[in-house]
Amino acid sequence: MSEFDRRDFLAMAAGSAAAFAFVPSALGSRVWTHADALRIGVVGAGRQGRAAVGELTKIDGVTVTGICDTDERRLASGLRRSSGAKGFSTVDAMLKSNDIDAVVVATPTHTHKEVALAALAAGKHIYCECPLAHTRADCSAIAQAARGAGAVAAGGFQGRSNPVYQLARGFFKSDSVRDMVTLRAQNNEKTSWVSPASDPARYNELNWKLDPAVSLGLAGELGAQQFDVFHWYTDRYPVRVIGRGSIRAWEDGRKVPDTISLMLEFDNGAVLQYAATIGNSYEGAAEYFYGTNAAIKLGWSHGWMFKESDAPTQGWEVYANRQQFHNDEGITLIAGATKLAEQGKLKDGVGLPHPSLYYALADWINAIGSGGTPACSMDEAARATVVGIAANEAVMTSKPVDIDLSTL
Amino acid sequence: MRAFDAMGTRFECVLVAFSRAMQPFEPVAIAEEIELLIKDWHARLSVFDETSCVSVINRIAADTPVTIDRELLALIRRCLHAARMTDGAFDISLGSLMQAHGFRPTPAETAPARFGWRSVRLDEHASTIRFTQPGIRLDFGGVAKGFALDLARNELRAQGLVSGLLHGGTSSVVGIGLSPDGRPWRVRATPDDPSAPVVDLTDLAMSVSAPTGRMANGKGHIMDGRSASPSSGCLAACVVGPSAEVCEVWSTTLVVEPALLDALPPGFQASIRRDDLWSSSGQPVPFDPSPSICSEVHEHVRV
Repeated sequence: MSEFDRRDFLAMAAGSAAAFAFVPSALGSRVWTHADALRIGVVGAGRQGRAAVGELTKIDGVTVTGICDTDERRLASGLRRSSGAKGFSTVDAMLKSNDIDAVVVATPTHTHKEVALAALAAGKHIYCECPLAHTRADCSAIAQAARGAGAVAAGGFQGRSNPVYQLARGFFKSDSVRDMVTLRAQNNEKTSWVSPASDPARYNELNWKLDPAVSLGLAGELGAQQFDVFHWYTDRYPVRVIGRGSIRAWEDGRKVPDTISLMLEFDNGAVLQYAATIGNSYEGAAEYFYGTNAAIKLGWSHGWMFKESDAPTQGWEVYANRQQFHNDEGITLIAGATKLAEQGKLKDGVGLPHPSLYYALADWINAIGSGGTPACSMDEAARATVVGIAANEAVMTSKPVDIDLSTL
Repeated sequence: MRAFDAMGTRFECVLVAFSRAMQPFEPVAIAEEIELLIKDWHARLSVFDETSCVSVINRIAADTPVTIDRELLALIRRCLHAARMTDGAFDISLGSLMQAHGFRPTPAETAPARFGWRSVRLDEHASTIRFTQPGIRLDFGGVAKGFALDLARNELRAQGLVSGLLHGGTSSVVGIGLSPDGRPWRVRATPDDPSAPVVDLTDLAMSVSAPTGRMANGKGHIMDGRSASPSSGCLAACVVGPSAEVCEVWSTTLVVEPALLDALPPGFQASIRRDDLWSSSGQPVPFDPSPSICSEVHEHVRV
């Protein structure tokens, strides 16, 4: 088979397999299959912790038995979201209770290490939110502890477990986009990044994301999650990053930029252009892969492929759902297409039914139950976080930063 | 001021003054929290989203008990008490009726449409809900906005708000403290009706219900489970009191059964319009500034 024929064959095979035979485990089957319930403790009852509690309650066989937070109001709010969890004000107290098998770490980034290491030392499975930590040393410490533990440890880089992203990666790997031209991503939101503090004494503590001493800024808190999609798709990590940042929307004396631009350079010459702002929400969060045959756009709950006019048409495209974007027509990448087709809902089901967090937690729980490996290991999470740390340094210093992953 | 879409309508909140010193943009952040709070409950209670808590309950609670969180359990418990008190004039189990009359999406499954709050059972100890017969579908359209506004009001009071106004679709309103000109927040129940009650909402909530608020096939959107048809008890009902949730429960109830006007819980005032005449009952009592008082207010439904 010639190189050209091989590429066409792979593209067609991925199309037929991915679009019409792909049913992700998290969409189609029970996540936890053991008779005894998996008992999970959630550390941190802020916005992310409460979201985790909400998603965990959707999973059969899983019970949130403990919630921990130092803030009484947040703890009470988290407990109301559960169906009977106990409240704890310290991690130690929660870990010493006999009701926890696994721990979700949803505290501020710079406190992840302390919680993660304590949970692993207590023999608990852990899921640690993204980014993993705020320093390279903490990333190394968590990854090393996870390697030596007999527990399942997963990082919260959600692209790897997202059914739409898994589906689209099949197309990317099959050469449907052919020769990669460039990479781009953005994360646009309209939000102050301020946490209100009914107790003014706690304002600084609650607003850690605005403290440059511990915050990874937009590059680390938002960007790292997206950079990892490119790592996963291309099997490469950037080697150098150039960045700029400024305060454009929220002039309140903050030092952490609310708007950033980055260029992440790969060793093969490819460049990822990244822009993020919390001053405007237009187009939200998305990642783009531009190839000579097609571009792929990923938007967390949705994915699309945009074909070039000289790209060959594949059989499965005839049945595909399409959406118009101004002058471009996107072929919707639908996860679970076979199931939807059976239900006569293929044209309706263009997006994921659950948020990305659900699939990340479900993947971790599935790995615990099966003794398998989670989609995002702690080693992968550590590498992705170090890229985010370097990107934030580039923004804060306005100087190029080399990315060295060899020390992890 | 912040405005956003949720629960099939437009919410707006005006935050005027706080009792404590605020950091720059902290009021903005508080408004962001309110938007997230209400959108979160929209996502959980929506019957238009197949993965919402309510859709999952509606799909499987006839086959197996469904574990739910304490907050949703408490809301359903209060709604079932209201149904008991009003002998079914208020009923959250009328989702299939709403579907039959074109107000809700039709489900893929073909279970026969049934309704009736007595078929909804809660297990408080296990924190579960189940239906005693298939075809039951919960619908919180007659209480969700008020419930969300009470939660928002609680959060805002905890953050120190002393002057502000919130509303969902203008039919559910909460006034906190006084308006910027030092006078009460003054609201007319139905703006196009000069004879409608004008209410001063100082630490008070108000809900207005009318069958014509939303129409399909010439019928109104408020269902009467007792007759299995759109209700036509009165033209409009306005309830004022310390809880937006209770106000909405009772404005919905009174549209279905105006004869319950005098059965209103203490601390609430209701006005109903029959033909061109408004008649009233009760006296409203403002809510306590303490955020914890909200749960006690809800107990009025259980009296």
